[in-house]
Amino acid sequence: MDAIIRSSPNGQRQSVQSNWQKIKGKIGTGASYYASADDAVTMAKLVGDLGSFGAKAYIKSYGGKPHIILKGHPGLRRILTGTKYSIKNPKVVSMGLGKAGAVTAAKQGGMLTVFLLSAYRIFDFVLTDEETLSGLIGTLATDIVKVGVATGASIATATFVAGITTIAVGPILAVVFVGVISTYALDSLDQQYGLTDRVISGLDEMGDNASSFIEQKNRELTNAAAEVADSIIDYAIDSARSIAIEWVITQLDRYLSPYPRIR
Amino acid sequence: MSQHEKQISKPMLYAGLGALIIMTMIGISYFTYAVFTLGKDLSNHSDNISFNKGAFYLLGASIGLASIVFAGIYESGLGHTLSKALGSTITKVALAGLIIMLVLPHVTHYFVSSAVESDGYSICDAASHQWLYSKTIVFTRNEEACRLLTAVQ
Repeated sequence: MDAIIRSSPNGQRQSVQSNWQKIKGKIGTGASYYASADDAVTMAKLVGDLGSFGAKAYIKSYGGKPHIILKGHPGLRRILTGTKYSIKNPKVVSMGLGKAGAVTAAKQGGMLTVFLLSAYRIFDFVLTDEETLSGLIGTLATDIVKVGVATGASIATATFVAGITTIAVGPILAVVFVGVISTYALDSLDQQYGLTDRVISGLDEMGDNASSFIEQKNRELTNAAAEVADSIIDYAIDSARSIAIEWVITQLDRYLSPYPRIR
Repeated sequence: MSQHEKQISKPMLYAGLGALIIMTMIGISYFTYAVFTLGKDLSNHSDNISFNKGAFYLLGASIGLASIVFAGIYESGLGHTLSKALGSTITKVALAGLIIMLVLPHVTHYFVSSAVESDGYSICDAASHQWLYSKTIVFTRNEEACRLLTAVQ
């Protein structure tokens, strides 16, 4: 695609080139931040609905089952209009409150990130001329592993925080914080040890090995076929020679024999 | 009397709290290191200045996580009941951490960008890197410095 842009009528102009790079960059940034923006929107909705940052929302058991208790004036809220909700109430889960809400948010965020990152990588592969298939597969593989580990850490933290504190927003906040820290730490490790680059070069090596293996097998097969063809030709020549000799002897014997033939 | 959603065993509690404390420390350490490196590069007017924007997300995240860890230690570790005032303060600190996390990197980016670009630096795309939040922007004095940096990498 870079080549197509370059070969377009105005493709050589610096402004066209820089705009094209900006569009690609913006798509990458969008894919990177969409899941977090989604979490931020949920948090903003939650804070907006509860009325303030310090609004009290905690967990209390009724009949052995945990419930979210919301303090303040329910009449002023638009979504969570009650004072007591079951921890698995769809409204509570959609607002990211409690363990179920936080775990759901973490899972959805993780899946969305994998989906958007994969879409972006494929888009980048199609549009960037220098990108290789090994590069795409290697980057996608490490992306999925890193997002998977970060999502797993977030889910484990949500479950753990729900078990140690009664602050209802604790699990969803922990998901966001642990997600950010683990994402950064995993990428730093990747950069430090060049893990993605190693995976890509490993895939390249495997590709080269596979090519040379196929080439060698091809050569062996050609040699074997040639040997078989040689044998067949040799056999045919030998057979023809034997038949010819036998025929000549028979004919000589027939025409040059001193004994009269009986008809 | 408020209760947790699920009671967890003591060894699990200590292991989990330990892991969260380590994560908080990692966040603070990365942030401190990034600020130190940026300050050093800016004051030395280095040929290339590396702005680790990703590390600036970690300050807010660490503050927020620290407040949650504090609530966990207070309620489950020490066995106290969280008072309304303390609960509200912890929630406010955690949300302040969230706001710092969302705002600080972009504000810092704006100021660093303005300062270095007015000093004649430009972004070296080839040496810069981004993966989700983890973003490092490298500014170089000229094209040559950028080329050298990329060649070294």
